[in-house]
Amino acid sequence: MTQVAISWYILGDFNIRLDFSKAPEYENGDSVYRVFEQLREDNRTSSWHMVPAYQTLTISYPWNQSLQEVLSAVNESVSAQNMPKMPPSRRFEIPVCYQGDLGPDLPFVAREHLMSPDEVIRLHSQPEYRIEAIGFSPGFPYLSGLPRELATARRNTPRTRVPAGSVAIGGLQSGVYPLSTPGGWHLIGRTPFILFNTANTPPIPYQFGDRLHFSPISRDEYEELLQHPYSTDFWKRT
Amino acid sequence: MSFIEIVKPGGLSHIQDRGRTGFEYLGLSRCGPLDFRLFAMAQTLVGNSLDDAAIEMTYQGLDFLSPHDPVIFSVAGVQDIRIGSCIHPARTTLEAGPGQRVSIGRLTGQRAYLAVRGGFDTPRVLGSRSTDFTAGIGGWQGRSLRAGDEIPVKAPPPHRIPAFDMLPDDTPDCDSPLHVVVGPDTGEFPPEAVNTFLKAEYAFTSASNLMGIRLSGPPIKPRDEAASKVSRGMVPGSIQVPPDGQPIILLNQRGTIGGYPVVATLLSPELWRLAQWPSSKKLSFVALSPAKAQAYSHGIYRRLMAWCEGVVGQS
Repeated sequence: MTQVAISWYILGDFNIRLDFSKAPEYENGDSVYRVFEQLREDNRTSSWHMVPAYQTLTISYPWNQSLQEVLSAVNESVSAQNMPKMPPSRRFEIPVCYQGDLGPDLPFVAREHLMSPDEVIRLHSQPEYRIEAIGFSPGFPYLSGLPRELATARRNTPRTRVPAGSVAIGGLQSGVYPLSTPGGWHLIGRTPFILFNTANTPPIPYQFGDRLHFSPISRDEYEELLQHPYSTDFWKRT
Repeated sequence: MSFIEIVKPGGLSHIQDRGRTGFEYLGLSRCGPLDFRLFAMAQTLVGNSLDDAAIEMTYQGLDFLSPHDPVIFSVAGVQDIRIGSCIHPARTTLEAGPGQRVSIGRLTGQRAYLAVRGGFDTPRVLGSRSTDFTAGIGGWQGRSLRAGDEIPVKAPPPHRIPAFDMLPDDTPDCDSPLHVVVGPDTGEFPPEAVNTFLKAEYAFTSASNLMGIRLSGPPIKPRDEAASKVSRGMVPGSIQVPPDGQPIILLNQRGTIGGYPVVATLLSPELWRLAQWPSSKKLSFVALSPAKAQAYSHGIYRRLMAWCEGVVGQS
């Protein structure tokens, strides 16, 4: 384990932002992930709110906890020499149907890049994406790893309502809309599964640092899986 | 089980407890009352814990009745309350008989809290009873209250009501500037931006809700490079500035991450004051150092908690 140098800022009164972007060993968010996971194990953090996103970890702590205590918990997690039993980031398979009305912007994206829709599907379902942040709406993953050939500037006019399960491209990123919300990304497919389910703990199966892979399914398979929208069998964790 | 029936829902009324902890990493905002001070006072007057749920009302109070049982309740943030045909001063613990209609009426500020003895017994979702309008969960069916809703009430605790005590002055200060700590993204603004921000007066715009308040005033445009920054965590009180230079103050139901630079962050108790700010009135900001900011907020929390414990201590 190498030492990670981080900078931190106070936000208002009882919040801090840890910034890992200038840390010499900073690489693709792994150090943020490790520190975040380590802190979650610490009982001093049980009433903290934590938001990991890209190179930062934002923390809100209770008013009756001292900044010193917060910083020492952070320091211990950062300098833990033997990040023990750190769960490796997990991999999830997300079945996606890219057909017809389920991917209304697929023809546009294909035209934009002078390729066939099938080529877009092939490229989009190839990489293993990494979750760099979850936010915008509950469970919306910001995914890095989109092939550069598919980078597509966001829509000029966002949709007022994007169907839940929509798989989308926005700039150099891909993402999934777990809830029906407004959205400005290009919708190229849809997963039949309901990703946000408060009956599960946690209510979203993946988290910051995990990896997602999209597997194309046919319309028939999509319709069949729709009968079991809460199924979790498809989470092939590896 | 005992319950209250909502007869008229008022402005925007919804159930909030202290908030939802532990799911912001998945994009679920903490929620909770916008004015924690009045929330805590209302809960304390009926002997509830601050972990219990109350109803947050906006602009206009609701009407309710308890059809079968007497109900002990308190409201923080109104002058008086009609119970049946009688008008009572509000800043104390009150009781209504079975079927007696309670009308809360006009609020003193913009938000008020109704607590009933025992607390509301709506299902906990992800550990909290707070309504989250973005996720559509918590509270009563994940939405604001409507006429006809029957909201269950927990059996009251065995100990007696702490004291039929008066609230301390619950009039919010909506005159003095709101305290902020400048930053952390000042590097993404031109040098004069922070000064402009601290000297300016801002008006509310209609594009405001429980996620945030969009202001209008002298623009403080971020540098162009700011647009290429990746998203980062946002807290309630973060003052984000999109490319048009018009600041947005984020509230308890904000999106947990955002891509715009943050020029300053409001202190937590200032969010309570902001929750009462009349939307027709301009607001301005004053900066404190981080150390002074923490001392300022500590003082306010300590006084509030001392008051709550003092009331409970009398029982």
